[in-house]
Amino acid sequence: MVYRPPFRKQGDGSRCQWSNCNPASHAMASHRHRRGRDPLNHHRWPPKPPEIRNRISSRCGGTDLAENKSAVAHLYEVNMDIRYNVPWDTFRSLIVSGRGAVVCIKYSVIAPTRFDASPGFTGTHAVYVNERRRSDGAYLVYDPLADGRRAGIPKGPQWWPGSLLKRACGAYPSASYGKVHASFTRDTEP
Amino acid sequence: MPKPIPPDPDAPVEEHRKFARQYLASRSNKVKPVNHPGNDKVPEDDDYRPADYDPEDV
Repeated sequence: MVYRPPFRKQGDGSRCQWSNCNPASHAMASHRHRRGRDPLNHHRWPPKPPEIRNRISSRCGGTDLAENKSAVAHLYEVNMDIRYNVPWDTFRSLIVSGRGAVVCIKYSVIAPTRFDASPGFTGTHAVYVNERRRSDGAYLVYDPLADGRRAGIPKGPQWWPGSLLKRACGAYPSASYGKVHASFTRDTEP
Repeated sequence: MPKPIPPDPDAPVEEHRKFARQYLASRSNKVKPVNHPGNDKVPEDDDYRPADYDPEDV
């Protein structure tokens, strides 16, 4: 089975929590990248959203893939591979090859579905994708908003239909249908 | 160098691994998305806070 990192919610009570989707997703990706192994440097382990946020900026607001890549390289010695406008078939293949990925999505695509973890929110968002299920092509998505904070809110990783993830990625403002902005972990599988 | 083509999703994992290595080696991460001056950065006024957010819930 593909290595599964622990789920990290962004709504953890920390500073900037509701703009920490990218740091939370990168915390999970970093855990996957290292298969849970502490680099034994002078930073805390395991990866948590506030540490990544604090490394990026003292201000709140959205963060991008490049800022998070730089932060997790410094904190956890994790070297993510960022690629923009990745064709969907290519993205699928990289996930099947044994990599996880942080992807940029537009939440308006998720809002009408049972995977909506923040009713009313339709903006840009980042989630961590861990693996693809061969039987139906679904993807195991770690949405940092899916913390089960009340009834009706999903909790933890969920299997999203491939078509849903594809549409959500393609609806991101600078992408287009069939394209993905993603930051990949290394191939962690034996 | 010919552009690598992704294998069928049901192909053996080794084929996907080979493709992934070729793809990542052939594409620079310096290629930035066009038509988005913010370069993926979410505008400061794009509020991530869930509409139903209640501090007591966290």
